[in-house]
Amino acid sequence: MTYQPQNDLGTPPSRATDFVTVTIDGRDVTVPAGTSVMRAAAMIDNNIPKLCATDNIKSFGSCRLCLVEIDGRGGTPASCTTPVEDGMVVKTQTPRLQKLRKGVMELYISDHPLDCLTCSANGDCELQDQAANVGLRDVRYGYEGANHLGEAKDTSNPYFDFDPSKCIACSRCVRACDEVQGTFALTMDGRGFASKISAGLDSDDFLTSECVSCGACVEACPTATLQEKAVREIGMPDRTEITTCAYCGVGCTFRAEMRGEQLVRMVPWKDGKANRGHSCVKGRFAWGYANHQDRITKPMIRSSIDQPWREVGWDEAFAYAASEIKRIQTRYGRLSVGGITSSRCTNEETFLVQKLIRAGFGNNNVDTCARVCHSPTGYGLNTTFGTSAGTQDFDSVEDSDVILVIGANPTDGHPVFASRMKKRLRGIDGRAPARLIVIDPRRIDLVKSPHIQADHHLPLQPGTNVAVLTAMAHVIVTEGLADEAFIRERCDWDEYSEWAAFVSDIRHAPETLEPVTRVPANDLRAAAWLFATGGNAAIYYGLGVTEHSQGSSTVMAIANLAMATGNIGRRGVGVNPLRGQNNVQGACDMGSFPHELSGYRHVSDAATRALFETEWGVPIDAEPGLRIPNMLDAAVDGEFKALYVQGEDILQSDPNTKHVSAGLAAMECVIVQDLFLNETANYAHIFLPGSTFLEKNGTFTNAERRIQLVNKVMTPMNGLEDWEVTQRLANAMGLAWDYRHPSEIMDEIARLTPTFAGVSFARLHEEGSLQWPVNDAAPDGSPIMHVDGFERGKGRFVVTDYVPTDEKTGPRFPLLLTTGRILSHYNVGAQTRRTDNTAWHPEDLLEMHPTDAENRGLKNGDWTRLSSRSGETTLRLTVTNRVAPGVVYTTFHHPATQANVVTTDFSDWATNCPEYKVTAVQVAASNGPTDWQEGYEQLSEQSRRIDAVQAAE
Amino acid sequence: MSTLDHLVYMANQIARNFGTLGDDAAAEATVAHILKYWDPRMKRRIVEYRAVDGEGLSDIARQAVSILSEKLATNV
Repeated sequence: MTYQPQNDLGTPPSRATDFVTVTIDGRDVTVPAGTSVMRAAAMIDNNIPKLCATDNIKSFGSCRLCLVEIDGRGGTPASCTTPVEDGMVVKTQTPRLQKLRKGVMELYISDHPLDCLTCSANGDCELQDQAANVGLRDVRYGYEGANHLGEAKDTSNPYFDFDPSKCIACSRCVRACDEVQGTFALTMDGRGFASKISAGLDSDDFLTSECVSCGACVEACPTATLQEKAVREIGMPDRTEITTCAYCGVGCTFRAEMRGEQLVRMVPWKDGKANRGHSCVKGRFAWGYANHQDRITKPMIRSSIDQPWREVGWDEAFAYAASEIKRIQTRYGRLSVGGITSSRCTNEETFLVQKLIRAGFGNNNVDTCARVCHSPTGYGLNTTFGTSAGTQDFDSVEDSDVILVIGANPTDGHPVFASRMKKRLRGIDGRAPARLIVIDPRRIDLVKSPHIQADHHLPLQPGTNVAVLTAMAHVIVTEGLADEAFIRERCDWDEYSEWAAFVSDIRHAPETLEPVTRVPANDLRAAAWLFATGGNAAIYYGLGVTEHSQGSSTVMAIANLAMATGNIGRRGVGVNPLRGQNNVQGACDMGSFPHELSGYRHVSDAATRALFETEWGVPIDAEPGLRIPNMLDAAVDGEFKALYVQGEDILQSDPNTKHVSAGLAAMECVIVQDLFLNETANYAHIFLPGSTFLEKNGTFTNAERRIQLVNKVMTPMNGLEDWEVTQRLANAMGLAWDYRHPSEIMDEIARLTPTFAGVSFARLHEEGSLQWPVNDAAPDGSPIMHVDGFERGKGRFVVTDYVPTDEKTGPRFPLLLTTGRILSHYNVGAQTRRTDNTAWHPEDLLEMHPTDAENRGLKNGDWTRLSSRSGETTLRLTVTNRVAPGVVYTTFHHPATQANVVTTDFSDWATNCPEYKVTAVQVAASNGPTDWQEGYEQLSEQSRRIDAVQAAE
Repeated sequence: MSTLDHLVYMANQIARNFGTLGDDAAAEATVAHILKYWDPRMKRRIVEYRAVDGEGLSDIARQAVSILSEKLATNV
């Protein structure tokens, strides 16, 4: 089979709702007004030759290949820039057009290498295709004249090459970078014959330029000019499989393009409703970890953690694990064991792990890594709206007039959605740009980037989210900006009145709170006015909201603001948690929390338990189980002795590393199921090798509640998909499960979970994706929630009193540390550090304001010691005014940094989500690693961390 | 922080966040929260602590744990 590229209609769709009919080559087609002739023709499979047009960027009209004739009009207009009109009669193929096109192609080919057979784009080259389509047989001008052949390739990007000799100057790459990605890294330098594509300045190459390696230019390029290195090395793929990215909560869908079982490239799927054909450097390129030499592919066991691992067969590993769990429960009791489901794994795998714990271990000691990220979202949105999920789909942002971003850094954390948000903020769709409010201690990229400038950036003191949001509510209520009609119709009026009286108190005025929040009162008032009066207002938030001692309160304060201004229940508005992990929404939906079964139903509810008891044939404990931090506390106390962890590295990712390691060390059986020997595995007795998303079937649910299929494209290196590992462990414990495919697990989820009642693999194959709830009331799913009323009935206003964190600065620890992510790496970096993404970010850096740096005699690049009440680490300094004086910031992608040695035990009052975002610290000069250390491969860059690991072993 | 210190801290933190409801309602809300989210051992530990000492608990938290103690005793 030859390579089949994705369908390309040439120009973007029209948003018009009125239709016109045109006749193209004798055939009628009815399309929305404003559609180009090119697109209208393509919709009836009449593909007019083109080079500079592609349907995810605006038409440009430069290549002169797509000319057509239109009855009653002179000349030969370009079909890409000519909109259809009712009754228009178009001819796409006449002797005159054929001659013109052939002439154009002759000019292109006279300055293009004729190395088609050995060219890496052979078989996937639009220039080659169009030469064939126009019947080009020779080039009258010869090939001897001035040309662009033989120019040096730019191979600096680790994933793709830029070969200017093959460039036809169509500028698709430049326009894709501008319009799709919104980075504006590329430009067409020079004029006329001297025109050339340039990344950044003359001194730049692709790697040093502003390029974020999203791949939009590679995808847009019609020739081999911008192409994946993998295609050059391997050759063209010959089969494709649609699957879902396993990095962040955006949930981009990709075409995995394969040769045999070898993955050649991941190409963003144009029909994917989350990403609409766009991608970021992680999903598009950073999949090399799947074949990394560090992958563990055989089960291993050891009787104690000071012994070396021993490879064993699967049967022995399962038998040993089951016997250990049973032994421990016999000796220490039913409640002495538990497990952690993975937000990286599929819904089906997560469901099975919690089922194993509830039905096999006989308790509710199951938790998931949402505990440390979005558990406050679940609590807060469930309390106020009645559903533990965001209210919108991503498309909704296209109709927003005001966008409020709080505690999120979308261009780094959720880059593909950020590109869509930036599109709306630039207003390139012909409408006025959306206005932007950013509430963040740090000047994130979104505050000011090409063609985007936030109307208001409120650089609050870390830990004062609730104070800022309450002050905004104060302005909205006291200045009469609340949408009382909406509130009376949709919300409980008494609860609103109580809340309104609370926020109206003078102690919540922006002026009163300014000394606490450090946000100038005038700015805050102006932002509140804009939010309440600017039209459709949408709130997007991330872990900067949840990972605080008042994370849940902040989520409820956000919900209060949305309800008070009537911004719920339609497109363009809503409360949108930007979820961290690919399947953190799904893991929560699947009943991974110790207090609730799938679909957020509390374990104390007898009717719900009865459903599960009937299906599973075992009693379900009516008491909530332990959360992760409680498990660790109980372990230190000697009451909790065994843990089954699927796909989470709690030692690296959870707060207060010393406490985590003490808890793990106190357990008698730790079972780790993972791709790599992660940090937690240092304390494990049984290692069950895991499989990557490329090696399994299942589903992920993204931040929009969108359930999407994950399709297996290669055989698992370890021999089993993760759900099979859990099933065999369950069977070793005597549970007699016999799922033959994850679709059967989804069928069980649908039987037991009302919001998933209409979900099945067959339906997902048919629809591409479904957004829950999918049930009789919403058979095709629910892109927007709370449309006619809140899920809980009346929307509930909750008074959120600002309670300052107990993590205080003082003379010993005068600075506040907050943490975040960078584009090229993903969380603890277990995957991205095992790819070429390290080219962009080889180490974590500490950001500090120039004043603070000067006071400490520190300068850019210095090694510094970062210490808190919990511990200390060393890392290098970046001096920047992105952070305010008194605030320092770092990422946590590299284990050498050990940021969690520094973080504290404090956590959200309602959910125990750790307070990662506020730690009182001191920073001082450090000698850092010596030359000797740097050369010492195994000791890595920070000897302290290595020491800690060695000591643990 | 020891497990007991952690439990006391958590109870106080919950009580403080419900503080605006007024003392009695805040205590009731705190009990409801603990019943919904704490595992049986955690509940038992805090009730035992209240019975023998309880000095570390705030007024609302102490009232809440008293109610919790009664509820557990009557198995409500």
